[in-house]
Amino acid sequence: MKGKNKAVLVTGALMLASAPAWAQSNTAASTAASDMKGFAAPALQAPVAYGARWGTVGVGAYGQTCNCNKQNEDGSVGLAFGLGDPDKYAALEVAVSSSSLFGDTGSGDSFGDAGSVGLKLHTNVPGYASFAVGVNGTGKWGSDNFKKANPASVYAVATKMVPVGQYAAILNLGIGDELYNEPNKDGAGVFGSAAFYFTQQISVLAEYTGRFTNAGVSVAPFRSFPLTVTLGASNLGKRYGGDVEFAGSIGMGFAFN
Amino acid sequence: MRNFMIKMSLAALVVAVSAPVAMAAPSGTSGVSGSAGLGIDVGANIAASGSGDPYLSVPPGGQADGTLGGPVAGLIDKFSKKEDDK
Repeated sequence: MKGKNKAVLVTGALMLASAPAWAQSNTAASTAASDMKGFAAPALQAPVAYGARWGTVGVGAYGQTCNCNKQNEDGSVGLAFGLGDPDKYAALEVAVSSSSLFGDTGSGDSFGDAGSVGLKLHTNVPGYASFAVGVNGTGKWGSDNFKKANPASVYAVATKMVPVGQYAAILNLGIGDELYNEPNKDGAGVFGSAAFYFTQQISVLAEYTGRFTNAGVSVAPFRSFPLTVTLGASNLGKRYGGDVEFAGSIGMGFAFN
Repeated sequence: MRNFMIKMSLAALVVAVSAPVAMAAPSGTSGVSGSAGLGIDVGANIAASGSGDPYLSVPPGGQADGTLGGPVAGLIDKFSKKEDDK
């Protein structure tokens, strides 16, 4: 009997001792998840179905080499913010971009002279998936050449995270017109991307934009800081008489409580 | 359940509305002269949005239990579990 009492005491003591440890480990796990702010991107040029929500703001820049002006390179910078909650009903992402950063030697527009607005209505659904419909290149300002060369492009897209063993992938499929379709062709083209995530901070991606096949690597260098850098090669198929070009983007997000 | 049904209806509506719009929209420019068609001029829309930095889709204050969260919540769940397993 005495031995039995001792066993109960020891078991109780162990339970008491382990309880704080269990609670601590759970707290650590949730802290670790909420501390995740650096995520690699799943695409370089293709739109995805999730986006900014109320309380989040993003800034970004995109650039690539090209045969489009005397400097053989061009870029654009943008700002995006969200309205609404995609977990409850839907959110609208509004992105404003300034184009032709080096365009003064090509299109006649220089920094701030030309730009456009992108709108994306997106919602989350169960199974780590999202749906969105959007338009890029609307609300343009700038020279007539710029406006004519950048038609508004409407798209619909679905994106889903898929576990792959101990890793993960984000798959993305959409349809869209204009920039997401063959040149001089009416109707819609298909675009899509697939990104394999080694960790949430490193991905390798391949995509087809409806015109170009691209491949790249995306890295979020800091786990607790929302900065994403994506580098890749565009037009791998050397379509439309063009060369393979170097392309890159950098994006940073902010969340306000 | 009611919220789920509303969300599924909204998703179906989004696809149904957008498909005919995308199919019917005209194409006017060559899109391959100059920078047009290379995606440079809308690249910033993409870079500034969730395509460029997926963190934008995470609710302020972090991913709360019970929220759907989309693909990025999937990454958080997948890789935070992996760390817990270590």
